[in-house]
Amino acid sequence: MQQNIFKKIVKKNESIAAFLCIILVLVLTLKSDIFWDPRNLHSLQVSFVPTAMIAFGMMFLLICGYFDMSVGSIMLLCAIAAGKFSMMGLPVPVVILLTLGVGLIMGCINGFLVSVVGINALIATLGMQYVGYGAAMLLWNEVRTLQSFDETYIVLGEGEFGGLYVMTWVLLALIIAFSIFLKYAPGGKRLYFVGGNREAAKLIGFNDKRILFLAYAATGVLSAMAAVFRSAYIHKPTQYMGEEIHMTCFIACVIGGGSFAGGKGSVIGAVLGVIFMSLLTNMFNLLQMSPELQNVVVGVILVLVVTLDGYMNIKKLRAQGKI
Amino acid sequence: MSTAATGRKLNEQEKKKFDFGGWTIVYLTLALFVFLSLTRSTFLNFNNIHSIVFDVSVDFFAIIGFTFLIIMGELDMSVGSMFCFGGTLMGIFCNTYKMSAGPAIVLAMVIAGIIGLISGYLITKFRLNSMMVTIGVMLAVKGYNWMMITRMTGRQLPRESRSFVMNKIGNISWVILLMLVVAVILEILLNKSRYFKQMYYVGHNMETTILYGIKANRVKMICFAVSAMLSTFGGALMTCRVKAPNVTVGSNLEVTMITAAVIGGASIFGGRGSMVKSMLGLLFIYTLRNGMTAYRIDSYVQQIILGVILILAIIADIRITAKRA
Repeated sequence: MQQNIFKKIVKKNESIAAFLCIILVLVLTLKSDIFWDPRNLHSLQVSFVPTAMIAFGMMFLLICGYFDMSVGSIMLLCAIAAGKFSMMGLPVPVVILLTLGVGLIMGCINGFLVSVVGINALIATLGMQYVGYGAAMLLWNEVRTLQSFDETYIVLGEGEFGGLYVMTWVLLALIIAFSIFLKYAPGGKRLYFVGGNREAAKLIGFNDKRILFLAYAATGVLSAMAAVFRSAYIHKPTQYMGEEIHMTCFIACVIGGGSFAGGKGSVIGAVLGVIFMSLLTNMFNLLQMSPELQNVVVGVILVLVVTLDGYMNIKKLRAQGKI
Repeated sequence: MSTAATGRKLNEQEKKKFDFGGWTIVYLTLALFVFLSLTRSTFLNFNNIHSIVFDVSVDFFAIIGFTFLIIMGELDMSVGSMFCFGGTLMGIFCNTYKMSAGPAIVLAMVIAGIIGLISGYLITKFRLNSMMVTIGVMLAVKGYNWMMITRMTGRQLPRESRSFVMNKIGNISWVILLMLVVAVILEILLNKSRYFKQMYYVGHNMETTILYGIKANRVKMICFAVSAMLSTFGGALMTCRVKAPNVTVGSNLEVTMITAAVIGGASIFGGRGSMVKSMLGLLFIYTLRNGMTAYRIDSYVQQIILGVILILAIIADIRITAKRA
């Protein structure tokens, strides 16, 4: 009985990510003196939370069998838009709502292009990445002079409560909410059905287009949320925000058990994947390894994980006798 | 012309439908040329046109393999970093090991070919999504490029390797002439040769082609290797032109490639595509960029416009595909 439970845990998709995280924590504890330093843990939280928020959106899409390359640009655009709104002298809640609105609009455009028009997800979101980046940079010239956000806005980024940042509490709430949503809510289960077999889901009567559209919209809003917290933490928008974050989230989700084929993935997996990526970055910083090497490592890991995923998939198909 | 895109004979009705998608790129490029030369006095002079076409010719080598793959319904996202990889290896071989340009390029192409073969093997053997694997390769190679190029900062390539790209035949760079020759030869081969036509069959329906005895996986693997090798070749030439290895060489090239191939009539669903039209697609993009710069359009707005064009081209592609089906 004991062994069965052990086997079950190992077979879970998330176990790869958990295993990798444990290895990294061990390496960091042994090799670096300052890993457990509160300051390091704080900086880990700050780099981890926005990425994890975006990774949730990415995970929803991966479960449906889609993905979004434009999250980084959406994040950048939202952060700069937040700067613009607060320069216009709007009150803080309005600024936040408008920023989330910008993310929602971008997400809806993505969703429209992919689900209604039917464009390949890669190409539609790559195009939107370009559009978003260009739009953000146009706005950037006006926001460049902004010194700092309002005090109340900054609390979102710097405020602490019970030893953790406000944003970490928000993230924990999101983890619980989304876990319940994916596991028990009918809406969450629909995502898996659409990803597992879209035709069948359509025949049963699910509106697959609407589900996909909503998933993209949610990703847009989550990117905007990440932008709000991130920009609040560094007091003003920067033009480098969100660079490469689509890749980070994407790889994190794939490592955390998401599959490009759809129908697989969980919130915990996404979180573990993001923890892994943050720890990896942290390791490169703390051990003073060249940051360029990180790209090589991440690329190789991605290829390995994708290959493993494909191998498992083929094995499953063979077992079912489909090939 | 109409057999070009599918590799099979079409009846009259089908031909008509086809040509609508087929020749659009020619009209677009011509219209853009006429418009720019009428409105901008600086546009229509030899140096400007030559520099546009030279940019196209360097990128063209990267789009050869890309077009092969897109015909078969696969995407190679690693072209951009492979392009840069060519420059990095040129830097290493020419500066550190004092090789001359020719052997350096050949060696770089061999190394890239091996990487391409590996990713092709993984993709075909484990039935992986080509985009995911090549994104991984892209990251790894990009990281390697950064690492090596930061070590080589400030060192130019030796004069001999810098100058050989600038050689001219008549008044035109040899790279451009090579591009034209290669494009025409490949176009003829794609239409006539049994081996090249296999790609269209694979793109149309892979299962059936395997039943008919075409080794689809092997063809794909070879094409991934070809794509990597030729991108490296183009990147090496580009690096010789900019005089030192540079990380910005080939950045975002994959987006340019997809746009160029799709406005050149290729379909991301596979089964359609043509070499000369992909080249024209590149020419269109570079002319557009040149024109936008001549009009002093902000480079960020240029990005927005290119993104919108990409999406529009794909929507048109979907429309055409839906009509044919």
